[in-house]
Amino acid sequence: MKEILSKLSATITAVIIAIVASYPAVADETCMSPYMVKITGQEDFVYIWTLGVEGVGDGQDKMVTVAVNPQSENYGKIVHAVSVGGRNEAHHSGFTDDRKYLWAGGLDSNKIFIFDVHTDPSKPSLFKTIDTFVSDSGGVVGPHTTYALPGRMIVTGLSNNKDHGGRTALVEYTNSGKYIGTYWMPTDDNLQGAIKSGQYADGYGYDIRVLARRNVMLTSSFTGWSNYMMDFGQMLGDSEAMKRFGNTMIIWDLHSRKPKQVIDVPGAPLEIRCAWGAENNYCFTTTALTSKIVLLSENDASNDWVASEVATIGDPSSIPLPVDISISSDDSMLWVNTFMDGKTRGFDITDPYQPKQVFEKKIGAQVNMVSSSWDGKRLYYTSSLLANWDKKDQDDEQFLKLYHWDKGNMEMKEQFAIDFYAEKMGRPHQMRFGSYALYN
Amino acid sequence: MAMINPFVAFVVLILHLCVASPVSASQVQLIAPGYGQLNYNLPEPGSYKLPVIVEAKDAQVLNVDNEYTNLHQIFEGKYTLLSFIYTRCSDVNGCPLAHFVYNNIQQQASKYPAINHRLQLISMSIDPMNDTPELLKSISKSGGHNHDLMEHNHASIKPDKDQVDWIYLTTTSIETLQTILDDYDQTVNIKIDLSKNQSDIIAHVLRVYLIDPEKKVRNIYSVPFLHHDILINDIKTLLLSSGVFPDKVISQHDMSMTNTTIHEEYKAYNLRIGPGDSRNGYESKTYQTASLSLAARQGQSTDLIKYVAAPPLGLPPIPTLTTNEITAKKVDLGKKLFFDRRLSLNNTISCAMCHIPEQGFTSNELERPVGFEGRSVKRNAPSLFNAAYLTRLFHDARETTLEHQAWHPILASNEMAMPSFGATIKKIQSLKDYHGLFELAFNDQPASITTIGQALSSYQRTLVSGNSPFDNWYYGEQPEAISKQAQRGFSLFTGKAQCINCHTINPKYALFTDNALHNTGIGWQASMADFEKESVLIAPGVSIEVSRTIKEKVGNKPQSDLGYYEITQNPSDRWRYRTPGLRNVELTAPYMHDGSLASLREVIEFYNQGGFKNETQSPLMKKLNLLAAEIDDIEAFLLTLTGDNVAELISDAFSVPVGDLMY
Repeated sequence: MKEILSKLSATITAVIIAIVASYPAVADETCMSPYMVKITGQEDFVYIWTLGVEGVGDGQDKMVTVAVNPQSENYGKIVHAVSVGGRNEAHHSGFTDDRKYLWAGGLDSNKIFIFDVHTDPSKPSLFKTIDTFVSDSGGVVGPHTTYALPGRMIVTGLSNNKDHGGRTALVEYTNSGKYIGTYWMPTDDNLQGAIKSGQYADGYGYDIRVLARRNVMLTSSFTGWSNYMMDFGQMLGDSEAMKRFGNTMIIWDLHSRKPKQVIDVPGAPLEIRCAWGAENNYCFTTTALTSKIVLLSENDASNDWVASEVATIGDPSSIPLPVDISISSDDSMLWVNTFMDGKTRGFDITDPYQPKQVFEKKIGAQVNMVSSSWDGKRLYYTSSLLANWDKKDQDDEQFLKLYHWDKGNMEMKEQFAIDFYAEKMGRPHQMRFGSYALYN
Repeated sequence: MAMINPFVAFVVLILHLCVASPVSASQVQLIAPGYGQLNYNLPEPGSYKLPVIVEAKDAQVLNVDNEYTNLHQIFEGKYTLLSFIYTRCSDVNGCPLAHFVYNNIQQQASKYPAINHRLQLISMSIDPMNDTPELLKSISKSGGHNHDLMEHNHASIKPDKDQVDWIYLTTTSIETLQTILDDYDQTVNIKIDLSKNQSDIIAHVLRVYLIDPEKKVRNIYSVPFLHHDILINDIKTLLLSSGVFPDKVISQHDMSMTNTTIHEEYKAYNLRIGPGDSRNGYESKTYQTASLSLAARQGQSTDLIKYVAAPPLGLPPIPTLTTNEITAKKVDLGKKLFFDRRLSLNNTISCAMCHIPEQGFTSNELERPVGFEGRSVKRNAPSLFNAAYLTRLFHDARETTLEHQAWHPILASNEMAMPSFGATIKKIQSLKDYHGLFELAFNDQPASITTIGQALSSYQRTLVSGNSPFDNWYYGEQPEAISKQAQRGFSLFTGKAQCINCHTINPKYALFTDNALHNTGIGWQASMADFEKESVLIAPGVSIEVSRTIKEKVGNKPQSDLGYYEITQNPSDRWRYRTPGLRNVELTAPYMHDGSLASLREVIEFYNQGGFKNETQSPLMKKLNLLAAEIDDIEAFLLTLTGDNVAELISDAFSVPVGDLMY
């Protein structure tokens, strides 16, 4: 019996080693939910949630599919677009954990469009529209990040249906689109048991990420409907409106969905990217208005979280407006896009407390989103920020661009660019990757 | 050897790896948390809620005795953990993980009788061709472990009749299985490994479902969550919510947290007058938030019709049209319409989104409102307090009655953007919650151009506010009703500062408006002046200079605003705007027709300097030479104009549901 066991153990150990060896290849783009089914190789498609523009094509928001596998005869071309009706302020999108559906939110109309991406990954189809988000949630407006949790989606709100300001909540749905619950951001009158670590508890929301191994969920804060829908130039001149930006991040108990800590991060902290390394219990955000990279890290002794400004992005006095960020899978690089100067900047974050800018390149007259492949070799960029914040006239460039990044030589080379106005599509915003291999 | 199922062997090995042997650092990264200890504290059981996620679907299945049964029969009356597994599973963080966790739960549950007798574990096979009832029976009999291997695995638990039931199930065919997988949203992919020329290997997203005795799914777990401590915690939480105390952990404090209704202190009129998202002092680095939750925004409805019979002190009778007598039913209907976001083309903007009750029925948070799809509105949202008395409506006096006025924002392409009267009427008629309401309020008349305008104006006419400290002092003849400073301010208001020339007062009442239009220079300045740099707040106490170039890159060109000229086409009417009333003026910042002045102090200082000189400026505007103390006095006086029913009107508004749902 012992002999049998010994042989069996050897065999199974070999199997385990084989599995373990392949385990790191568990994700593609680096900013997705860790719960998600992953692409292990070259992505075949990029799905781009695109804002309709009056007078451009059919003027409607649409999910645009671009073939990005070099093996494809349509490499670098739009292969499909599905219009959803209306201009909803298309913004962010996210897959369900099984990656069969792509949820895409409309910040204005409060609709969530659910696309089937598994039946034919080259042709996403509109599977279902949730048009009861506001009433389901008890008044949350502006569905923003659609983030996969096991069997369900958690959606961050940006605003509310009472004053169109920034006080808002997280809203949870099943993968099939059934409402589960609403979790309001803590406010001073009801911190919900959270500790207010600093001066602010504004109740605002924006992005969400989780560190499952620490049972932690983090949210950031932007601004309400009145501001994100307003003409950007008008807003800069509106001294009241400029007071209505978020200055907080919330640390939540992931499991109970209860806020634990409200942390001051002044200047509108937007995207959150958490490190991937198993021992790297930290996340980054950037502040849109004050142009800082902020590190959120856990104090090992107290389990409290601390926000530290660890770097400055460009010249804050010229409002570079950091927008999307992307962390490399080995936690060594943080890509930071700045909307106003159209640049992407690479920060070496090997020492997360001292990020150093090591690369800078102008992508266009304006740039917003950046999505990296898991191996870090492909970086996709789109241009649109918000319908009424995008630049006007000749600076209103609207594109998807792919660059190859050569880390050794610190070089970035453009592979293709698609002019979304020339293609009569609109304004490209968030990108998500698709692959045939996921569904075979 | 052939008798040893690889799945069983795998479980043994995992147990061995995780329990008996030291684990290398690299493996720590790779093995799911469920195999080890959680490195964080879980919330107290009962301190959180597990809302119903979805109904757990029924299906016909096969048990290990090769008998048909169905899931609902099994779920009935028990808490169930359901996982989909297959015995050939070779993913360390897949089925073996679920199996390992189930084992631990059996151990843990044995410590809690309340859980032990109420919980069951189900392993449902997704590989019916291989996982026959017979095979599953042999596994179930071993408690998940082959008896031959048990002697070498002391960490595992022998089957015990006092343990939580662990049920293995399968199906008769792939087709039957697929229906169940679809019902449970469980993804299973079959992949062919051509390189090894091997039979299919099934990959699936590991999910475990917690189902309550009512057959409702209360939580779904995947790899990062699948840990026995988490599952036990959730089961305890469900037990507590049904009144069962699984242990003594729960404290009285915890119970009170789950049962207490928060914000009781905000009931009645105990509400904040002003933005719930207060930004007072934002210019300073010492700024601290004083935010209110939206849940606190609750109110009680009021019989507003009482103000028609008896207007507050200091106000004249509410004027009404003979064609639109105010009734309670009309007011209620108008109120419903006023807070209904469905009155806009894309269901996002109601009247109340810009005329926000607690913000003086205007918006304290914007100089100028934002309309449909974010389009700019060129003038400040006027307060609706005492709009009943206005004889000319809008800042440019382009409308004559509230009945007519009501339609402008609804149809304006940069406000609510409804495409037409007809489309609006049809939309309202299609909404079930309006069925019969117009007929009830308007003697069987349906929703129409007339009745919609009449309902909205009826509500707005009741938003009267008087009986202020000033009214009690001036009309009520109570000498102590306002301070000496405010009394001095009144003397200045009517004397040296000459405010009363336009903000008029009648011996019997005061509306503080002449209902006329004047050019103070504010509009002229906006049209004519340029700036190179502007100070912009980017965080509390932090501002930067923003150049015109930056603003122009991201901003549309300013809209032309020539005031009354736009109505008359008479050049002498350029930049003339209607005099606003001053009642509740402390609540209606920012000020002037374009919201360009942030505070009452700035307004008084603007008038003190004679406004902005221009060709058609009102001859009434001139330098006032007020001293700083005199400005203080006037400001103190203006603060006495706040009516005593403001909280009541806000509370009444808070009681109205916001219209959002299209069906």
